[in-house]
Amino acid sequence: MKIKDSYILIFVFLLTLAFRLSFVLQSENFSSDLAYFNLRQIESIEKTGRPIFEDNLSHSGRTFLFPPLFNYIMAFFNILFGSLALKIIPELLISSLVFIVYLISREITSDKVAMFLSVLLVSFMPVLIEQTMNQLSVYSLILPIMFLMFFCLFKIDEKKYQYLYIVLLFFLSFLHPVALLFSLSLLFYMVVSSAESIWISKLRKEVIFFSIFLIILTQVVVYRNAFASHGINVLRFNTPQEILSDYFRNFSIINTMLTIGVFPLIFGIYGIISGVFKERRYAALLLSGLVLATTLLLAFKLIPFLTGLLLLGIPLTILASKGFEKVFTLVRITKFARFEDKIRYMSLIVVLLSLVTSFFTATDVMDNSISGEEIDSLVWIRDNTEEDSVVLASIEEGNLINAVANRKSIIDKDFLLISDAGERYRDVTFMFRSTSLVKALQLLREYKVDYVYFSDRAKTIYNLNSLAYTNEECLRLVKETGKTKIYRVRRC
Amino acid sequence: MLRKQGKPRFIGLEGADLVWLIAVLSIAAVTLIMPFLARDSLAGSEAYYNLRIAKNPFVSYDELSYSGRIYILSLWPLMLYVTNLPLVFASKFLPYLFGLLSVLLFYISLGSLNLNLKTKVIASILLVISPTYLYLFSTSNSYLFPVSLSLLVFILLIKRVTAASFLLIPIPFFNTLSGVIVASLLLFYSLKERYFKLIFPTLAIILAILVKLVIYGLPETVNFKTAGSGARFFIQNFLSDLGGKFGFSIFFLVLVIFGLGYLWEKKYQNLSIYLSGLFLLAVSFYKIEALFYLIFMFSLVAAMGLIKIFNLKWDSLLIRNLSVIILTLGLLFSFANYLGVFSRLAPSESLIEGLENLREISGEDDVVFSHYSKGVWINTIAGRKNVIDSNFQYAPDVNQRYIDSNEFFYTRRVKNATTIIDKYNISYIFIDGEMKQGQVWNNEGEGLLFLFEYSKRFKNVYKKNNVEIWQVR
Repeated sequence: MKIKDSYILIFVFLLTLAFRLSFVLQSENFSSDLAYFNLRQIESIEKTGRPIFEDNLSHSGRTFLFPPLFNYIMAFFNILFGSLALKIIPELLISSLVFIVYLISREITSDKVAMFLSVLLVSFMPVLIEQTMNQLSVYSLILPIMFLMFFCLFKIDEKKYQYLYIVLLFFLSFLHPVALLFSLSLLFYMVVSSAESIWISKLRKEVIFFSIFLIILTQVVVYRNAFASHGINVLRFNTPQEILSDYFRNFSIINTMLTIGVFPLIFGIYGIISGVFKERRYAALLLSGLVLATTLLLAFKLIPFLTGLLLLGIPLTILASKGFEKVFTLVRITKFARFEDKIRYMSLIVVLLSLVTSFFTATDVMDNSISGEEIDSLVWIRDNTEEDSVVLASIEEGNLINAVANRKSIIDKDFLLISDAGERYRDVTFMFRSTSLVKALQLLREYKVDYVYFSDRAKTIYNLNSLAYTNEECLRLVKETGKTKIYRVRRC
Repeated sequence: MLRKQGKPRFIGLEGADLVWLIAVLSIAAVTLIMPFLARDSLAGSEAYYNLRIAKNPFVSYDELSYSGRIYILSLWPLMLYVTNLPLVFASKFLPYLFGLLSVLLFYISLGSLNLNLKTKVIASILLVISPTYLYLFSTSNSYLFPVSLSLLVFILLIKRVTAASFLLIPIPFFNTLSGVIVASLLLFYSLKERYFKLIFPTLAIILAILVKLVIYGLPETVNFKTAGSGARFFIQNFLSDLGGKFGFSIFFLVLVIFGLGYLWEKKYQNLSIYLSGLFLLAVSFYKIEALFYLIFMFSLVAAMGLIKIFNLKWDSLLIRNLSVIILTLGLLFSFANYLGVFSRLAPSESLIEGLENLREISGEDDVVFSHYSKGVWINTIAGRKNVIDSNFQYAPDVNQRYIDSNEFFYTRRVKNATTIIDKYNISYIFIDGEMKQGQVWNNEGEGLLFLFEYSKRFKNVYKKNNVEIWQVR
């Protein structure tokens, strides 16, 4: 890498980091309910050295099933650098994709402008921002690790990359079940190579098989109880039928274009055709394995929609560097050849302009972050209710009730090992939407609800302005903070 | 690689062979005892059914199942009976004994095939830690004797002792599936070895199956889908790691694939193995119990796969060693995981307690209604008649009873419920948590649960640990 390139790269990294931090540091709070689940686990690790597996708060009592490695890593940073680390470190990690994407793009194309276009597009991809900004999300660690592993695979003949790959593989296996997607992508790589009669070195085959074995073993070990309880349904995380269509949406080109971006999609597909079928580049083949695997899982609704688009968008964007290169080469052989440099830099500007959508996405993410008012309400619950109180809140706020209010919830978005997930979801929906006090009270008593937390989010989710059955005698308003209302369920 | 030089020996175990056999049997002795340590009660429906029949295996009419039906002879309860041991103990001891015996026979059979020591030992160890083998020989079921007998006959057939194959004739009287499988495998073997004398015992086994059909007639075709059928059930039970009652570990199957790769190097020389394996796989889709036969073949093929993996020229020794460690850990984990699954197999302690209570509060002639999966336990543990159970073959009006059961479960009208109650003379209704969590109902107040709450026709006489007994007044 020439010194000039490294300066540009560092500049892009700092730009990405600055962009993210400028939004993330606007608020003390996080932008997703799941962040508070992670936060609670991190706090538990700091206090007791262990995460919470047997929890008496979530669903009013349940067992969690998850690999806690990410929480341990974040707990480590939290201890070292304080709570700000939980905001900064994930953004730092995801911004490191800049370097990794550059390194991978270099294996696909030699055109520098094309490389930097891909780097920029990945760094400011809307779905990446939506899924990782201010979320304390495990994907902020998974994505750099996964793509770094792809890079190591390109260089696997060198011993140092073999060792690095093995270490990263152990990390990925114990981070998240998305590791299975990685192993599936390796399988697809082998299938595509075989179909195109492309020779795969013995070492690469060995590494791939070892990767698949290790990932399968770790997932079976971690999720064995989930397999025993839910069988095949575990592939969809035991998500209730009623909300399956939300998480596992229909996969369409329009949706993909809007979420990933037009350039990555069009140029990425062009990059696959060129890199895989014409030039038969090893790097392109490997990445196309990931594209194929993710597309298949999206088509069969075996992966949450947004997660799938995230894992589809990044390799497509990297492969788009080959697409850009081809377009520039095309220009070179036309009458516009003398404008080639100008066209390259124009395309850079066009791409930069298209990144404006990222700005809007980031703004949306921050607008959707947990507000100070919500935190105040939850803290009020914590300070003014009995310790074993049960609080009814929407599905998007279950973890907030547990983490901030430190109270029992009825439901949240983690359905593994919950035997009555569907029933709970229907009951909670009914408890919010019911127009009948009698029927609502029946369910409130069944779930032993002491308080109802009715926030703006609940209004949006259940399409309500207010609870239809409030009644001074049975459901008294005890706290109102701006748009959030807290009701006490009384014996009546 | 896998075969040693010289003539095939019969038993002739000596030296290292004998030492390793003792080691393998010791491992089997330990692995087989662990499921029994994991739980006190017997596991599954079939064990309880056999336990009940073994008390009096000479009946021709079963008073309790379906409130009365013709008893279809099964020789396994008879075997339990003739041991003269306490039946619960016999239900545990005999499977254990046959488990050890089958390992011994398997090991010897591999020797008869002229396989080297390494292959025999690895195949035997893979066998004794596999969930399918463990389930087969830790539950009292009608497959374990036919499987063990088949292994013995196989050894004798290798030595061309044709008469031994006639020992297989009684197998259809243990269960029809075993008869079909054994006859088919015998046919494959006779064609492969051009050992056409075996056609006669094959025909004799088929005749035995036909005799059974002549005596009892053709069973009524079951027109409904049960929980134990379909692609989803097959996948979940084919892969033990997905929580099935038995099946194969994912890592075991990886080894099988490698083993098949090794066999394929000799192309169609191993055609009989492919055909037999495919046949058993196809049958297992309809009756998962076919895996009880397949496990022996797969254990051998998996052993070949493991040896192949180890003997491959790896570019990276680090990757090779790590891969073998991971595979070994995977197999051991599947074994350990299976013990957990086995310990949680129905019936649970709370279910047994409920049924024992049912025995105390109900009369000898009372009929108990429940989901068909509980029927056998109602007969054996509670000692009461049921309306329907999971022994669908040759059951009287099985399709109508299933329809009526569903009608009874889902009706909210007392009149409809009364019709069914009168038809089957139902005195008690037995329900458990599983039935309320999706097996029958998904919501409180659904169907019969609604009637329980609001109709005076039903009185709750027991409620503990998600088990409820309702008396019909």
